[in-house]
Amino acid sequence: MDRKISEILILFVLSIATIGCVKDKPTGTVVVSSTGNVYIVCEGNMGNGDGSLYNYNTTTDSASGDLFGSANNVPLGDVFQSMTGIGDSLFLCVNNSDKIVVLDVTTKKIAGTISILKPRYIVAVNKSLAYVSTLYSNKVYAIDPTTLEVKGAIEMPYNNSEGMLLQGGTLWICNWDTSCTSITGIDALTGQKTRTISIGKYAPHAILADKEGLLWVMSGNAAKGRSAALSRIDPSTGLVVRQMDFAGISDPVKPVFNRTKDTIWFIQVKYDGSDADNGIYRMSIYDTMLPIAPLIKASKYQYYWALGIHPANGSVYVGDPKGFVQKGQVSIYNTAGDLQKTFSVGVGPGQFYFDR
Amino acid sequence: MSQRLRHIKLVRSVMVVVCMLGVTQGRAQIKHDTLSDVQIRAKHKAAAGDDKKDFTTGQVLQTIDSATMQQHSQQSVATMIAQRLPVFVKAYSFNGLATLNFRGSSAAQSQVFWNGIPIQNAALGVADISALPVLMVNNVSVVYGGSGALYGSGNVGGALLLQTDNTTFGAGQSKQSLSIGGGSFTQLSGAYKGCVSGEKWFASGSISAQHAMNEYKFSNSYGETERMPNGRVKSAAGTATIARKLNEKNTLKLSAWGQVYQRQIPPALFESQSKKTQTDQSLRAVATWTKTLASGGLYARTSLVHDATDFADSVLPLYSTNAVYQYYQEAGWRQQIGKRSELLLFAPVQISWLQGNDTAVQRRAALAGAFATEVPAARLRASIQFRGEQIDERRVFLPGAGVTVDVSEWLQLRANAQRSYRVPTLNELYYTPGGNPSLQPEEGWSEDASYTVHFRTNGFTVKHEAGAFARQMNNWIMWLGGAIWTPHNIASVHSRGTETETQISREVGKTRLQLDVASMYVLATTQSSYIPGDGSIGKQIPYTPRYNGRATLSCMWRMWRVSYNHTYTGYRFITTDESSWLAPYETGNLYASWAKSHHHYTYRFNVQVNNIWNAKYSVAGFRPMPGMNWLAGLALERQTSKNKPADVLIDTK
Repeated sequence: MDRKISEILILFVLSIATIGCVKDKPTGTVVVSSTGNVYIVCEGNMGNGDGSLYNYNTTTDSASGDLFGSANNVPLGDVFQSMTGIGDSLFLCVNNSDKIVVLDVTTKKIAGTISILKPRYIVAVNKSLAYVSTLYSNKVYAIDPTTLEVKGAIEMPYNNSEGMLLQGGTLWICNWDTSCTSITGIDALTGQKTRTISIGKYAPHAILADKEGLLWVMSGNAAKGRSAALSRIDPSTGLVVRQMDFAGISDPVKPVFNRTKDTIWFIQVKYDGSDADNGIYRMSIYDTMLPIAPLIKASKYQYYWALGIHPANGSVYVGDPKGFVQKGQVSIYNTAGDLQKTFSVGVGPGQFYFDR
Repeated sequence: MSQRLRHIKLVRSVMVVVCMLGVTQGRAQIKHDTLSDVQIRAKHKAAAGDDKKDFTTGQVLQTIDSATMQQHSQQSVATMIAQRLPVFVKAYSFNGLATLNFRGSSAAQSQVFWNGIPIQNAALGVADISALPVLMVNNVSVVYGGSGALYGSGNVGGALLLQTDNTTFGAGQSKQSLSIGGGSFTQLSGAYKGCVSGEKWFASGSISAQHAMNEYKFSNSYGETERMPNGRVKSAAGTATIARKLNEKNTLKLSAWGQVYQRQIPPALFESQSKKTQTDQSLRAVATWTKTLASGGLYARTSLVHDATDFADSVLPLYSTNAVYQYYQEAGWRQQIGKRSELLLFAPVQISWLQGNDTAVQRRAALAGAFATEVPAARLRASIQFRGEQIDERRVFLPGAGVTVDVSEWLQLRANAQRSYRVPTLNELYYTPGGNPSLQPEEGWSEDASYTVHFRTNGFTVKHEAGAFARQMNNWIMWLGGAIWTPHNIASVHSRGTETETQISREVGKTRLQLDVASMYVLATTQSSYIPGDGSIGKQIPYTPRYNGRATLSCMWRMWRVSYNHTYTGYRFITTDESSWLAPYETGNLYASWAKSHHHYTYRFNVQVNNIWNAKYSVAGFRPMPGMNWLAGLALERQTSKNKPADVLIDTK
């Protein structure tokens, strides 16, 4: 009888002791942050709240992160869209968490938080005034980077204020709205609308100024049926001096200039898994046609999501989000497009910020 | 010691050794519905929705007993499964969207059937089982593992089978129940169910309503305690069934299930606020005709399922509407061949379409069948299944086979192999933006083997089941993206693991003690991927816990029943490269119920305390679940029966 009960007990104990050959607890190391000069803004996977800030130190040739998590022991938030340095602070737009997190540039500890719905990008005018573009609304917010207060909001003619550029005393604002065909200029100090320049193309989303002071506006929203274009505009006359249309469903994003501001670089993205019109492109500001082939070609099931040119040495930084479902990868190329280095970063690298 | 006894002990010892080697749990094909000391078995018949289940030879099938159903009568099917079965239920919040994960499958690889028709949203390919109240169904069964030949495309990980009523004919039978309940977070619910029948007709209906504010306390990212805002849930549902025995051989049955589920979506921990709301409306209707033949039967059913989802975020503001229709028709013939064999042939047709999108249509037609035979000399039952299916322009053949061997009165062995297949859903193909019309179907093979040991000794009744499974799926579909999410055929995923379930019970006088323990070990890893430099190779796919366990200790005395349930859910990765994960969690849940019968009336009172140890946990990232909370309910049943029901057999042991 005892033997039978023993058998039952053995059977029971063994039945609950599910045996596996894989240790359940994951292993991983959160590397303590180090000071460096290239920050990588990692958006995270939308809905997972895993935005993170990484750093690559060109001197020590090492990458580290998550800087924010290590310094503050709390998660940063969902969809870390952009980072801007103002004074001794870093302003982190955490889009889907409806906040701007302000960090001390040295310690990376939280200095404050500004609540703004869906913040995208920040342009600083001076130590007491900066503007914040926002998704889904028609507002551009004015904030005080010193007191961290929202000073007011400017109502734009369209929703989805996106890329901004401070040129002289004018803040140029793109509204990434599929019905918008213009850019708006406001007096950066007063917030009054002063200019509207028609570009004749829908959904402007990025704006830069070249070495001659002419504006470059990238527009389009392929997913919503608005074809893309790159326009060069003389702000003094408000005329479009050159316009180049992208073919088909090309989706160019995130243009940047090189150090001398005579070559524009941009990403073309393909979400459908194909490698056509997919990669890193560049063109001279004097070119009259868009580049046909990428300098750095993306593979099938890959597209790039971050692009930066190091202001000190001209190196090209490219971020591969790997589908936003795992750690991303940053690759550094020379200006000829030769791969120099790769390293792993957080989920969804989307922007590079080069320390001054 | 006799030769036979030595043999039994030898085999039993072998089973213990097998256990030691790590082959753990499983569930038998034995259909038990334990209600105190009365066991009710549905008598075999060619009833709608039952036919395929009878041909899942070698597969693990589990039916939730009526006592468990009663204990969870105020909750959703999601909560019941999460607490009782070794199935991972991914719940996005308390009373939020909840989807099934069988054996490392994705949510779209699990099917939910109601009265024999698929009811997962045709656009999403998933069923939100948090919106399925336990009160509205009378029977819940789970088939573990894929059975593409029987259940069609999408049946990769397993299937949840729901039935809203057991149609019985017989003059003077009626049953009515009225129940009310309440609990923490302003949870209120009420339901009425009733059925009545005559010699040639049957009618049943139910209505239920639920309301909850769900303003539970939680800790935010800074460790501060807050109350969850924007968590209100309101729902109403109703079912109706009318059946008519046209003559001795023909029966016609019409069933409908309508439901409105309105919920606010609470903010995730990374959100400062949420004004999001979602309203899900479903209407499901099915008409079934059955004809009894001399040694078999014919059936035909036609159905229409309509699902509509309205989402609103008043802060931004954003609004979206998604309406999808699914027409499903099936005709079948079941025939006894000789004394020991049976044949089932059926032809399902399914058409799904998105409202307002002319191109978003999917058409499927199939010819399927199953043949089962018994070899008494070998105590063996074997079946083969097949399905040839045309899905739009694509054809697929899905074979399967299974075998069950009763080695002895106390030992049963099972094995099963199936081809699995899942065509992309309408959203995966046509969603704007991001839909990918060039997606290929997921396809692969799954195999499992299991055993059941069932014996009584020294007053103990022991039932131990264990099994191992393996599945290889190619062209695994994964949504990738940041600004635009697009599904791609990215990877091959190899899933394998073990399941165990053990039940030990003992009756002492009028007291019955029962311990149920279930566990699951799942490795579901990416084998290959098209993504350059993919870090997911060899890593567990997201939201698939490797370890999952449930244990319930119950004590039944007269009309009292007290149970303690404990669950463990292991680490869940939220990235494909295992770089981010969620901590394991355990919950303890206490149930007590009391019932009293008087003439035709039965009164039931139940109370439960969930998460009794006040564990802080989240099933999905940044969506905290509530701490300790309670529910209480009162039900009044009235049952009359002039005649013994024609198709229910009651065995008193």
